[in-house]
Order: sequence, then structure tokens, then C-alpha cells
Amino acid sequence: MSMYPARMQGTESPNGIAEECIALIAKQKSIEPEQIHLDSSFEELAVDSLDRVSLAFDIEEKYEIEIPESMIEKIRTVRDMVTGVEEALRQKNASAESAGPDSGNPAQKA
Amino acid sequence: MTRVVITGVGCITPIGQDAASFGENLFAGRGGIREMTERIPDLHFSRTARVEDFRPEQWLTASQRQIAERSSAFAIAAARQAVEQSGIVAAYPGDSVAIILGCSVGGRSTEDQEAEKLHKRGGRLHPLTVPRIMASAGTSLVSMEHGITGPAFTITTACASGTHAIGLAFHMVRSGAVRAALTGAHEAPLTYVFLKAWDSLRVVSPTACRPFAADRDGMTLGEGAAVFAIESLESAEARGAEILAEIVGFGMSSDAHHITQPNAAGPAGAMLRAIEDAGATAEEVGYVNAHGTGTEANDRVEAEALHRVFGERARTMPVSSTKGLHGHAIGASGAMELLVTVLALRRNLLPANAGIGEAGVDAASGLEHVLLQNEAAVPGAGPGLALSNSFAFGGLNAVLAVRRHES
Repeated sequence: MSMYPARMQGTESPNGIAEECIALIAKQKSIEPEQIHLDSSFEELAVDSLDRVSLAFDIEEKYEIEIPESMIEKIRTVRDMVTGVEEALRQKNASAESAGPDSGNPAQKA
Repeated sequence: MTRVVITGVGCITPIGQDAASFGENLFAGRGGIREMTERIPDLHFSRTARVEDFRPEQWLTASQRQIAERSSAFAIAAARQAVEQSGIVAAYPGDSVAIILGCSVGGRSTEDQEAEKLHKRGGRLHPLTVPRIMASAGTSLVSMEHGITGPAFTITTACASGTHAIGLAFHMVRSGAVRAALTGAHEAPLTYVFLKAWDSLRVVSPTACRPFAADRDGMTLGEGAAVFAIESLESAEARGAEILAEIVGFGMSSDAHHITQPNAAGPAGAMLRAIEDAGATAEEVGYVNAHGTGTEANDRVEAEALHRVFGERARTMPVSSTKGLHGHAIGASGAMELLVTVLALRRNLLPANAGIGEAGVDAASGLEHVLLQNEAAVPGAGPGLALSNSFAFGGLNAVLAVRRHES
């Protein structure tokens, strides 16, 4: 038996990102989350260009990451969106690790 | 010439969220000016006319609610009532119908909220900020809901926006440019920055608006919307639509004088042009719904303009401003007051100029027939023709002439 609710079955995103993406799309499009699956395309969900930038804004606010314009344009499915968020989070974590604890403080560099 | 009639009306106001309740409260003198619940420091006034209990979820779909802030939401709700009463969307091809709405200040609440966020924590604004703020959003959202693809635009002329919008829509239907129109105005200006801005002008009443009173001390800010469905008399009769009133004239002028101070020549010119446009004479006018804001300057100058237009008859002309009940809804005021005028014609009952107390009418106005209570017009004698005045900051004047429809 899956540990995820029915609509989440098949997801490989146990960190909750897929569920968060689905919740944001559901809110944006005023539809039930149960109608949205990882393989749902943005076209069939009628996610238009204004929805895309709104969703990117919501994601950026939620995870404190930056979604580049080039990525926003490439997303075709919910799965693409989840993958994109995971990728952006990885990059954020990697740059935080490589920067080290003191690099953000100009006073210490002087 | 094509005759133009009103066959539907909707409204969201501080004294009623449909035309029937608006009329009931109007003639019962039940006003919507109340103490503000928000705490705004250092204001010289404490009362506004707010639309209480407006529930967007009652009127708007979830997707409309994402984009429509309060001002646009008022427009959607009022327009839907007008469409349902008139049936014009079903009666005409979408590209033969216009939508012309007035709105002076756009999405003030969104602008305030987003500016506050920006100043507190920096960063970026929500991508829907622009669609929510733009003053024409109401027109766009109404056009989308009803599939209206004809001319659609928003007019902004401060406190005359609604009257300019309706007048232009009236001329477009009369000329045959379109077969029908949804027209009126919407406004939601009761926001922190806007209230503070008006406070600085020192024209808002610290008590309550009482136009033409000897002791008047300013206006009371309000909000809301009123939208009308208009079409040709011929089409309305052919399809058996109920005719609420006939719009017969529209006059405009500019003072070209001062950004806030009015002068009498401009308003008088607009009234005269509305009467001329109606093919009527000043003698036929039986009621004037005044702009009557309750400020010292507006009411003094409007009285002078009435004397210029009506001469000695100005003394006995029935005049009232109903802003003491529903407040001054800025760009939406003209549309709300056209509704007052239409109801007065239909009921043959002229509404009282609310708020005048023991001090009485300002004797210097020379207006001796400011209506202190509702007054039944003489049966069969009038008010066959009525004027609805709107005069804006910057000297932009617009006047509609309306006749009772005798079926």
C-alpha cells in the first residue's frame, strides 16, 4: 500500500514538493487537487502564461529560490514543474555549501 | 434619431446591493454613512460610506476573484444584475454591444497592500499586481464574463467618470455605432493612502455630508458601482423589454480654470448642452439631481450655475443631492446618481436632500426648493425631464438628461 494519497501515487517526490506544486496549481486554476496528476500537462490544465509566472512567484516565495525565465518557459507538465523546483533547490543548497559561513559578510573581507 | 432607453440596472452601494433595496433605502432616508472601523491615525474625519457585507464569493467565480480586487468586483456584480434584468447579452451579437465604464482610481487596495509589502520587506510584487491595479480591469472582466466583443473601455475623469461613461455610451447607441451598451461606473477608494490624501485636501466632513446646508462642512467618501443596460427604444419595444427610463441628452464641458476649484461657467455650459442635446428647453426641466458634494465651494458654485441655466426658475427648481445617504463614490457617483434620478422619474417621487438640520438651506445659494423631504411631483406635470450633474476636480463637467418613459 502506498504511503501517499491516491492522487500522489507514482510520485517519486517524498519531500512534499509534488504535493505542494499540485496544491498551488489547484489554487491558481480553482480546481480540485484530485484532478491534477504528475503527468497532467499545463495545456490540459489550461495553465496560461500569466498562471506560469504566478506559479513561479508562489514557488519562489515558498522555497526562497529563484526560478529562471528559461525554466518557466520549458515546463510542460506537473512533473516538469516538480523536477524544476527540485533542481532549483539543489542549486540553492549547493551554492550555500560552497559559499561557506562567512562569505556573505563584507566586514570580514575587509 | 434613435431614441435610447434603459432596460436594466444593477448596483452595489452603501445603501443597497440591488436597485430595489437601493430605492427602498433612498426613499426611506436610510443612509450608509457610518463610523469607520479601521484605525487610521491623524485623520480629521471618522466616517465613510462603505459597502458593508459585500461578499465577493457571492458574485465572483474563484478565477474572477484572483484578478478582481474590490473595485472590479463591484463592477462585475452590478453588471451581472443589469444583464440579467435587461437580457441584452442574449438579444444582441456580442460585437454589437459596447462596455463603457467609469473608474477614477483603479485598484487602490491592491496598490496599498503591495506597496506596504514592498516597503516592509523589499523583494518583488505578485505577478497579478498590474491586472489588479489597472483601472480598466473592471471593463475587461465584465466583457469576458458576458462575451461582449464590441468597443470596451474605461473613462477616468475623477468624480465625473461615471457620467462621462454613460453619456458616451448613450451617444454611441444613439448614433448607431453600437446596438446596445453596458455602462456605468465602479470605485473602491476607501484605502489608507487615499483616505489620507483626501484628508490633506481638508474637504472631507468631520461630521457627515449635508449638501447645500448653511452649516455644511464637507463631503463623505463612499464606494460602490452602478451599471445600466441601454439600447434603442425600437429594439427594446420589439423584444418586449421593460423600459425603465429614456436617456435624452448629454452635455460636457471643461472649466479650463483650476485643478480643484470649480467655477460656474463650466457646469452651466454642461447643463445647457445636455438640455440642447435632448432637444428640450430649460423650462421643461422639473428636477435636478445635483452633484452636491457638501463642500463649501462645490455647492456655492453649483448653485450659481443653476441660476445661470434656469434664471429666476432656479429659486423654485426642485433640487437634491443624495450624497448625504450614499456618500461620494468618486468616479462611481454619477452612475449611482443616475440611478437615483431614474427611480425618481419612475416613482414620480423626488428624493430628499439628506442631512440638512436646523441650520437649514444656505440662504446665499438662492435655491429655495432644495428638497428637505421626499416630494411627490405634481401628477401629470413633471418631472418629465430631469438632469443628473457630475462635476470633477480639474473642471471636467458632465450632465445627463433623462425622461420618464410613458409606455
